[in-house]
Amino acid sequence: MPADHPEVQRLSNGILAAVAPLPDLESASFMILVPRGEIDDRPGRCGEATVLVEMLSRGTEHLDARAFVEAMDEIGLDRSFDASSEYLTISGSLLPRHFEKGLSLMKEMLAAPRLDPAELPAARQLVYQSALAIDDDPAEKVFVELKRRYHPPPYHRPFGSFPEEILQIEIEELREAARALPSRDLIVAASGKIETEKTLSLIEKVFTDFPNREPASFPQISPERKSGAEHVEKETGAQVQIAAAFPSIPFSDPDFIKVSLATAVLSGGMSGRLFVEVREKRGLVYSVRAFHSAFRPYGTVYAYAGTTPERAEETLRVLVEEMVRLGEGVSAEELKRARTQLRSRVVMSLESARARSGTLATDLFYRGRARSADEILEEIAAVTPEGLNDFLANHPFRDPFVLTLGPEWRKR
Amino acid sequence: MTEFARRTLSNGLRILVEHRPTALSVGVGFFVRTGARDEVPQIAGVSHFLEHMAFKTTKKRDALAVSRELDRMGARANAYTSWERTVFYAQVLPEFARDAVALLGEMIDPAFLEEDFSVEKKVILEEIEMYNDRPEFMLFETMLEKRYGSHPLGIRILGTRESIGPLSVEQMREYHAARYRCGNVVLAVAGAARIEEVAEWASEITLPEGGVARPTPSVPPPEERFFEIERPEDKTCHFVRAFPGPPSSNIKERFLAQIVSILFGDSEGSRLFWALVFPGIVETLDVGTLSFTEDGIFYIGFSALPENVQKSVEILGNEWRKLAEEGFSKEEWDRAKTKFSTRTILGSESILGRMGSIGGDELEGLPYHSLAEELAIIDSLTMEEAREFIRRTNTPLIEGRIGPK
Repeated sequence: MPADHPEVQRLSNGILAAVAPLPDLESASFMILVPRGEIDDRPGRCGEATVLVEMLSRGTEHLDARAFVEAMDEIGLDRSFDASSEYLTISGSLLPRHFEKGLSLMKEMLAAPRLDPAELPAARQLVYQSALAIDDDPAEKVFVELKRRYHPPPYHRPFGSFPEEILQIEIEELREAARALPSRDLIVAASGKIETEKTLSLIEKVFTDFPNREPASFPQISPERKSGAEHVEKETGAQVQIAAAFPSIPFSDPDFIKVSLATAVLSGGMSGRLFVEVREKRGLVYSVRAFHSAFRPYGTVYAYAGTTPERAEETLRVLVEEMVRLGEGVSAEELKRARTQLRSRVVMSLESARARSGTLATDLFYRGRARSADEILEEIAAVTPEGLNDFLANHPFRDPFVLTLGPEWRKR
Repeated sequence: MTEFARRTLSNGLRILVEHRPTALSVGVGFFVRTGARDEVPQIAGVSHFLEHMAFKTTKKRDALAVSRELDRMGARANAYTSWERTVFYAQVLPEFARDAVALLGEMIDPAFLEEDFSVEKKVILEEIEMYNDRPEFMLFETMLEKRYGSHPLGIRILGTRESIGPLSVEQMREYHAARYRCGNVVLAVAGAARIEEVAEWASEITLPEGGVARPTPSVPPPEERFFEIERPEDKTCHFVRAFPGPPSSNIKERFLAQIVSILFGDSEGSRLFWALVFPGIVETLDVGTLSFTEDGIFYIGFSALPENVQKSVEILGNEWRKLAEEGFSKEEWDRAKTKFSTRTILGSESILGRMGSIGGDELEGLPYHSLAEELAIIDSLTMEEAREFIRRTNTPLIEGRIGPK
């Protein structure tokens, strides 16, 4: 395996610059992570973060919307601007010779977005439509409904919860939100066919005039999570969507690798317990899985299955039983398979500049440091069956909150 | 950068390997030249159901042992069925490549146990229902059904409750015996592996020799030009308009179709982006090509709120007409080419992506193309050729919508 040496440097204005070169690749990628997400949306403005990102993409002080798009297309910048719960991300992949230009364009977008009021109605309309479209995708909708009920403020208003609020967003609100962005606790991560020192200097050069950062703070959340079950009726679905949330630990917890291994045992591949028990043995579903997702203050493990109404009761029962049963421990064979799966993922991520720059940025965001691939592989190798089972016994998956969406399935 | 080699074994199995010295993984795929279009309506969905059965009991081990073996290798493994092919693939660390080839080779000759079959039939029926909750998918399927009518390309990949329900394991065995023959199979490998070792690993394959013919009946004109599926429960409408497109063998035309798709309908910076997405009239665009042995489709589609559909269809028609009549600028053309080339380079970094291109091309009777050769084709495309493509692709075949009225 080739060496993976991430280097991190804090610029004089506090921005974190990070580079992990992958010299065997042809491309370069960057991810700019701005800690301003859905949780920072104003009250009554669910969707604000997404509208903000949409408006940012519509031009800068010097380039109107069309000129900005053309400038990015001229250098073949393959880009993505996204808003999630705790941050915005501005990602791009491109050929290394255009790296400086690409990064500079993104910096301009953050430093001096045009925010032309004439663009606002169209931007709102676009985002509004994408919120409504969630209603037509029951597998996605079930998670919006679950998160709304399960997570405490300010995590309780995921995108798609209140589409009408998108249409209320005003330009002044966006201007205020955008003004604050350059002073956020930014992370600029890069990977691919780039050189460490040169790229760190480049990032410094591009972002040097950003103001001093304000350290990000995150809400204090009490450890108690909601449990129970609710059903949201949607008569016309063919399937019942089942989503369950189980309390778990955040990314920053040193035991986090054990949760990754646990979810791999449940759902990492076709010998995963959920796949075997719910799908293979009983034919109850096509789709079943469990996965970990975390916010800064706490973590959640979600389980999901989609099935027809007649099978919903059994599916839910088996799903939850398997999640709970994991607390009794895993076999050495199961751990070995889980370990290989995680190891494969780590090594294969080094074949993608986009993947590497992404994990660099999120590592810094959640853990405050950039782990090398070797470090992660060592962490994986260090977990023993006893260590994992001890952890599972003390942190079993239990007392979930379950949300089902679709036709009525509960027996009277 | 990469080294390509091919070999055909005495049983007719073709092996293609693109060796990349710097790769950290190996992508292996068995590409079988069979799919929905090789079925008849009574057994619609048998290819896809068979794909599922490959993950069950084989001649050497039971279903759980197959899953455990895949996971023991840490494989990123999956399979898919399309209209003209069924593909079984895995991406693994190099130390597991031999085992991956052996296992996949074993899986494509399943035991077809009755008990596996009856449990898996339920899973297939669940999958059919899952897609019934996806309007965009239903629209596309219906469009193909109506465009092709009784021609085999109109058969649904998943089949229907009516065709899957009564399907017997004997019918599946018969289908397998007819179609899964070495002459109909390609083993494509990309990454940290070499032809000599792959050829050795593949020597255990148990499929019989021989090739299989694929009749290619003439394609009739569609019987309907327009269809509508009402789903009052949906919030969003989806629309698609289909034009004649290039068959698989016409590489140049397929590349032209891709670049025209980017110029006209890319999700950023294209004609339709500015006319429809940017002003917030539609939510998403979907423009692309499907190529089959004897025919193809070039399609333009979007999703929008019901009140915007009529307007969007008009704008779409006007923009296409404008493009055909007035052409496009050199700057627009250069940007489309840059996007196309950059995406091709980015895509080539994916081991599974390369495996897919190599296997798919061979199955379609196309010569191998390295990344450099693909970029050379893109580079050679001229504005005049693109204009000609647009002119040829003039008249829509069929269009349809799904959603609330």
